[in-house]
Amino acid sequence: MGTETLVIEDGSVQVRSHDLTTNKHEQRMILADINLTARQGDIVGIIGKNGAGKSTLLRVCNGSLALTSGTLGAVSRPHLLAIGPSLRAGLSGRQNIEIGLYALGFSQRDVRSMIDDIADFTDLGEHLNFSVNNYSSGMRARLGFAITTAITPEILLIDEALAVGDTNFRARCLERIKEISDQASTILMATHRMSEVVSVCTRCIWLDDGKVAGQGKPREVVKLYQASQAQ
Amino acid sequence: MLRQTAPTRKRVDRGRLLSSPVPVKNERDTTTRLPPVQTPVELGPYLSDLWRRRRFALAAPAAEFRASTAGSVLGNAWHLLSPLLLVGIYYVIFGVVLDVDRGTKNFVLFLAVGVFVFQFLSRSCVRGASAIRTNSGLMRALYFPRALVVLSTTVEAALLLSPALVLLLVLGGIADPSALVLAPLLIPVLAQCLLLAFALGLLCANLGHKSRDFVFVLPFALRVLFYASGTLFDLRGFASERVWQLLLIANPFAGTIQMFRAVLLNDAMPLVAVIATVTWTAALLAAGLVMFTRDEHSYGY
Repeated sequence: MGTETLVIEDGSVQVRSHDLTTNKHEQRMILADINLTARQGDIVGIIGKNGAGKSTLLRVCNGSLALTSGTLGAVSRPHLLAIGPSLRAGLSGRQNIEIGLYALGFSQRDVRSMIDDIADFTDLGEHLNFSVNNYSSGMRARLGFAITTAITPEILLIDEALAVGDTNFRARCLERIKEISDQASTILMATHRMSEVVSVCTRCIWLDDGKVAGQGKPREVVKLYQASQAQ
Repeated sequence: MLRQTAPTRKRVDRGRLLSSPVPVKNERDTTTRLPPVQTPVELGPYLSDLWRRRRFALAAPAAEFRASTAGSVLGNAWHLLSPLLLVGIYYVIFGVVLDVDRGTKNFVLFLAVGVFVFQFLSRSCVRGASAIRTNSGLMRALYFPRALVVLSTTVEAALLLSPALVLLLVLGGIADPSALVLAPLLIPVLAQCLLLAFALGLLCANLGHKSRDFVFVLPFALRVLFYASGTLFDLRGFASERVWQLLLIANPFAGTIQMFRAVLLNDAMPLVAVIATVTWTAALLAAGLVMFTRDEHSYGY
């Protein structure tokens, strides 16, 4: 069992929401009593319905959303890969790779030697020379994944970012995820693809309505989750 | 094989806990605590980390320039042409039509220095105020010291200023070769100006992140500073020597512009105003770093 890399103890998140129908404010619990210990080499699948708290949990792990109660510790600040805008709008895909690597602290020589491999990994071909503003969400995901995994992050959080990719690209991403975890990194991935959870993840957490409904071996948790969905 | 563990059974309403590894509290070695993700920033390591990634601050503006002038016939020449055109227009209006030069020596150069330096400082503020929003995608995906995006806007503004400065140096040398004796002083003056711009960028980025209203207020504040800095006219023509000195002391924009004029045009610069401007820069830089890093973990979301 590897060294602990990320630990949440009794983590809860409450938000103040405005009910637009009754025009009242209320405190809503969006994550409750989360206990999570991730270790080196773990690939933790996070599953659950839409709105179950998967993205919220990843944002908590990333430090972008503070816990209302409980504690969160991590060996380093996790990188979060989510569906969304590119790194820098207006620039080309290649320029995005370049400035992403510089932001990660690589020298000019490193960047020169790495950029072609990363460009190849995205498989975006000549699209890399054009502005990312015209990229589809799948193309942005390819670019984002390639840049974020250019380093071997100690902790990588993936928020359904692979969902928009095509079959071929997803397969290569999963391959890369396994490689990263082999190098003692920890990966937490929220996904709706149960086949990926079963084939890649070493553990699985099922969130339902902000609470852990089950966790353990991927195959077993997925089975229970699917059974509950069928009801 | 299902196994339920006591500490979590109470909490999980469905009670469906599965086989190991079940990470529950008492399973952990609680003597080794991991550091919290949102640790307060330590300035020393933060700045050295920032310095290590300085290459970003050059690469990002370079990419931005290429992208922003792509498709235009004159390309990067616009970065020099647009302030020159501005100086031309100001010269016609203020020097010829309204005749406010009141005998200022080398009025065109005087104007050009004011316009270029003011533009540099105000661009640093404006681009700083939007730096967090522009780079939110980058910040969400990667972790790096957030002040890096502000540094890159300062460098961007400086890259735009540099050809203009060379041009001023050449024109200043042609107009009055003896003025070139002071040219080496341009280095400390430029350094002060860059630090002031970085400080203003940090402050504006922080305030712009905290309040959307700041972005709307900023242009008006800059407009006031523009007129209070004697960018277009010599303040001495309108105020007494004493009031002029007080203005230079109170307004670091005016002080910075006057330092450039002192070096490039062999103009006067009271020592007390030099001290005041340098003090302003140091104080704003300290305030900027403290305010910016205090919210380090909230940027980009």
